[in-house]
Amino acid sequence: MRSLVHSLRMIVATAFAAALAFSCVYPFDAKVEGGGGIISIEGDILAGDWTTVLVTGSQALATTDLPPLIDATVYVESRNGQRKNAVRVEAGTGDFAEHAYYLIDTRKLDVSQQCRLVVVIEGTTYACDWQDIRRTSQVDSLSYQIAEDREWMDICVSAHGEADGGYYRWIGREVYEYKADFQATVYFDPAADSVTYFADGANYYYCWMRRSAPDIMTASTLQMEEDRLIGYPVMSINCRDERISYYYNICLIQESISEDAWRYWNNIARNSSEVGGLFSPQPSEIRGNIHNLQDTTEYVIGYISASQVSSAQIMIPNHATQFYVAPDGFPEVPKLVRRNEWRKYYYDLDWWPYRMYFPPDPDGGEEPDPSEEPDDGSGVAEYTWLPHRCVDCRTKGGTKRKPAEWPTIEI
Amino acid sequence: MSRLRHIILCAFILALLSPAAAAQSLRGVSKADAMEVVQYLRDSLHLEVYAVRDTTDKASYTIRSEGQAFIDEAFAQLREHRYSVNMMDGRYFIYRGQDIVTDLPAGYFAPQAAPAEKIAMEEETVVTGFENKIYEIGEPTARRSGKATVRGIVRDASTGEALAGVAVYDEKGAFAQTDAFGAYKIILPIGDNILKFSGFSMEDKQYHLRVYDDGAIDVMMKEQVVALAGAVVTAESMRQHRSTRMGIETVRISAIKNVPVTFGESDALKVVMTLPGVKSVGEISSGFNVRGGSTDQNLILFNNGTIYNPTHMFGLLSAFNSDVISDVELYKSSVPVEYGGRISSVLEVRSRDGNSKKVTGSLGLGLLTSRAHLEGPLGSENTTFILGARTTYSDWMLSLLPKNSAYSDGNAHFHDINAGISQRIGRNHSLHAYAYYSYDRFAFSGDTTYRYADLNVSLKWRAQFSDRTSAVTVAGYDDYDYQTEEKGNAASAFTLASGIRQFFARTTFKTLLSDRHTITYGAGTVRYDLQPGACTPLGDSSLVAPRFLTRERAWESAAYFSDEWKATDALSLEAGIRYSNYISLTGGRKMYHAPEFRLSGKYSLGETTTIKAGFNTMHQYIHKISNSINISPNDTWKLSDASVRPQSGWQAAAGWYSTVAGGQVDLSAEIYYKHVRDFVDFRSGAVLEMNDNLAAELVPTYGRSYGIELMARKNLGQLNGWVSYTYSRAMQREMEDRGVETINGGRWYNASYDKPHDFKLVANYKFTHRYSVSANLDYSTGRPVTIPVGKYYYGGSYRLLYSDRNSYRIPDYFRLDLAMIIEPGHNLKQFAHMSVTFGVYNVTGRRNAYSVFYRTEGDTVQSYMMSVFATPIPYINLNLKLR
Repeated sequence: MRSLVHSLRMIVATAFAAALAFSCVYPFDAKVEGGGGIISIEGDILAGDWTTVLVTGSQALATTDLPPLIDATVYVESRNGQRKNAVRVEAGTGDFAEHAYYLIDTRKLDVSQQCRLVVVIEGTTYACDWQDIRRTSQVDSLSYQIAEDREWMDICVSAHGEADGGYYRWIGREVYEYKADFQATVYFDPAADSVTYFADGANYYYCWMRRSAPDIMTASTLQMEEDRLIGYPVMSINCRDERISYYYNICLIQESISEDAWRYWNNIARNSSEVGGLFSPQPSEIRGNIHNLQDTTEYVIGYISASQVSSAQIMIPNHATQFYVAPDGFPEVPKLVRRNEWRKYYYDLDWWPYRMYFPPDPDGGEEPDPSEEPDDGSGVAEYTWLPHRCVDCRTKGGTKRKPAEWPTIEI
Repeated sequence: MSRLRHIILCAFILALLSPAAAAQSLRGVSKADAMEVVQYLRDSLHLEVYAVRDTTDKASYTIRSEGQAFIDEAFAQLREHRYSVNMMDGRYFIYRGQDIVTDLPAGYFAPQAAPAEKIAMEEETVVTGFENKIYEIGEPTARRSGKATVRGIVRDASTGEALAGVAVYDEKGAFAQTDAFGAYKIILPIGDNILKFSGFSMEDKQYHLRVYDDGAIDVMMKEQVVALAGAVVTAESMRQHRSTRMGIETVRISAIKNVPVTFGESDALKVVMTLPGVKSVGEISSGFNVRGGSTDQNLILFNNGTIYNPTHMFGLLSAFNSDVISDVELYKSSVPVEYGGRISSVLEVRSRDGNSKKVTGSLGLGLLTSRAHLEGPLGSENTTFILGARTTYSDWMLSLLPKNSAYSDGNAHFHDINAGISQRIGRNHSLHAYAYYSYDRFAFSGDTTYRYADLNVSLKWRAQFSDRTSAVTVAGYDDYDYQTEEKGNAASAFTLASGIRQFFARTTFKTLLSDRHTITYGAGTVRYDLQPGACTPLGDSSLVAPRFLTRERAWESAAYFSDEWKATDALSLEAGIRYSNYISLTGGRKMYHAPEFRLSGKYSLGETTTIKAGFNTMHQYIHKISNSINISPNDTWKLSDASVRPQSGWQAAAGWYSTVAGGQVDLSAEIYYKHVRDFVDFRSGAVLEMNDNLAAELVPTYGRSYGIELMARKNLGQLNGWVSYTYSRAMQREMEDRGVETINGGRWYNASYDKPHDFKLVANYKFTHRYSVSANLDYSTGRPVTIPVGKYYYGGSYRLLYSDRNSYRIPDYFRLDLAMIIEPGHNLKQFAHMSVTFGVYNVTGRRNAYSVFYRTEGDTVQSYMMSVFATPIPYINLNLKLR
């Protein structure tokens, strides 16, 4: 049976369709303040893999910066007293480009023992309930399916085998290559106050983004004849999503979860994306399984599951799918910036140089050869500039860290 | 308000510019035709004149005089041109020739009823001499003293249809009301009596009766074609002052047709929602909340069959075809003892019996629907039928959507069919059979299709056993089915279905014990058979295992008795008890039983002012399972069993009623307090679909609501309608302490339909009997919502952190609708008459919030509000009535 989430999604789609037929949606300011400061702990214990843990605080709605990782002592504890301690991994150096996290080596966690995640923040201990480590079924394959109208692409899972329960959750680890809007051939060196050509293929044009898939992916096979999934859609990507603009790789880590965990995640999904329609359910908060051991009344966000995992990944190159729809044109036009204004543009306006400027030939002759040697520093050469975000792919959160196995030659 | 005033002003100016007005000079008329003379009599001399236009009359009239002289001269000239001019009851009737009758028989006595035989007659010249006529009831030889019962049936003179809700009363405080069959019974003292009849938009009748013994007098009433300026006692105000019951709202179809509603489709439920104490959560919602009750706490009866989903097209229209319904009655406080099973209210929708005189019909064409109906006698006057059907062509709405919007292959469809047959058997019995079927289907993508259908069949037998005792027996079958098909992924494609089937039977007797006591007694039962969910695979490649939730079955029975006691002329009391018994047959047997009390009383402070008080207790054994705030297409129902207790509640109310402005305006003020227990709410994150252990998702709550409802109502006249203001609150509190999971920490929280301030205006202004304008104004406080107060980063994205349940509100609601209604002219020779309604919904184009919602966009959370009808929506509606 298609999951509850999918059914609800359809209902919401229905509602919005009804709404679309007659109605409109307007921005609205509810004038709500506060909402910050509640501890949120995420990180299912993945036996046989690495466990990543995020400890953050809730924020006011208007905040734009990602919540910082809270300093904490984090470990996974087994009933037999065995502890696996976490190390802190800074943003951009590990699996996530945008935020720091705690990493625990749970590859050799004793699966016969009950375990729990413990987080100690300034002497206050937060822990999830003790739990058995669940078995999960084998992920056979991942596939993608493009809808007929080519608006959405579904990532689909096929899996079979023995698992505890019949409730599944997938953690998606994405890596994708993307490009800046413009490929700059030069860069500005503020120390030398000079514009220099990139050497040896160096660029800020190609980037790689590592992050968690934002979709909440769950399923239940309890309503099925057997514990098996065939081409089950777990997440969707829109055709205008930059993730699939070039090369998109996703690794789905499958775990078995409890019914309570399944409800918890579905409730988050429902609360985040399925409110406001004509038949929408009323949003509500449900409590997870993490508690402040000293003060059990404290509201803590998060539900920690413990499961053995199986995983599979798929690479989706856009040249094969032709699915990506690029935005129409670039609004920015490169601008000639005189040498005496470079610093002002660089520091004050956050613009970067793009390439050498060749004035149009007044006779309408042939275009000048862009491979011509630039100015040797005599100050004759001129360069066009663009806003930083147009020429530097890193401004969108990615890094220049290319995965070890990647099908392209760009660096 | 000022806008309305402006419109009325403009309309006056238009009226002044009309041709009839142009032909009049300051004094008298010059070269005018007969109708202009009539108009002058009406407008300048304020006479109540009924006239029938004779298109062959080409004569012109010039009368230069004033006052009585003008009247005398006008009548003389009209008579010269072969018009008959007659006066009755202070009204003038002007017509020409023998084939046209201005007034139909005002009263006759059924020939077969023995005591009435003596005075049985069909009056051919009712226009004159009527006032002096004395009707004798019973034989003078009876030599009785004391009181006698007078009964009869009130019908519409032109269609023969029985008229329900007509007030029958004398000048000394006796009062009765006609039932759904038009029948009344009243006890009058032996001797001379004046008996009056007042109906909704019917002309009043008044008879001089000389009562010797028990007897019968049937009455024909006719529709008021022209708005009257004089003082008229209406059925509404009579009921307010003479009946003990309170909190009853009746809307006749004629009023329903005057109220501008969505896309111009006249809609009984939408009109009910304009009454005080009735609210809805949003614009496209036919689920309604009465005095702080939830949508499932209303018993909606259509010809006695229970309607579980009273809407078409996700709430855009109600499921009742206004061509076949006669009136709608809402009991929001004093629920008659024969009804039970819901906490908040009973909404009774009655369809009409067919025209007994001739076959007629109508065709309607609106923006969303087209409809047709046919009615008439079958063989004889004693057998009539009525048939109605509606369907939609709303697929066009979806086809307007952009091609790539994922909904372009969607469709929405509904139809409904009504059929009724009535058979009179002698004058004491009648049989009525009704059938109703409604079907809805909609899909907004190729993947998901919703369907639901309502089927009701019922049989009703009305019997008059003696002059003092009558009985109504009904039996029937209701079936509501809902189904979703989901085929997005072939391996997990499924069909999800649920349904309710119920058989019911009920018999209610009414006996007039004396002029002081009227008793009602009877018993009824409902047998429920409910399939809460069945999930089956769809298609050959589906791996879905068929699964059926345990069927639920139960019997709900009740025996009831009530006595209406007229203690003095001013004081009346009604006390009733209904003993309800419920046996759940699901799993182990579980029985619930409890008495319900219905108490009400009225005290008259003079002829035009009355105070009333009432107290009710109610039980409810069936609960709607839906986590959405609205009625949604996939709601299921749950019967009480060992783990889900029945809801129970009581309501205390008091009211003050006064009729002012010479009887034209009824004022009322009602206050109430209501308390409910075991009211079903849902725990946070509840899973309601296909859940075998649904009881674990439900949390019982206390509900409390209170409010004051103020209303002024003018039923007749050029300007008619009502204006109301309500202040009310509706709250809930969880009954059990579930620790940190307890909703809002166990405190009282706002019910999702709690809208404290509510102002409503429904007005209709008739320029002439053909042209009228209507306005509908609605203001209310925004409903409570649960909204995000913060966000947190979880599972790869921002997630929303919600406030306590229902602790914020969406913006206030305001809407004004205007409509112009053009009724057909009164040329009786025309084969078909066309009426046209055009108007604008949401004239001010206010963007009323239906809901607010939040989306995570990149790193920020953006809030939005959705407006269902955010712009003025013009519409036109054509109705062709066959004569």
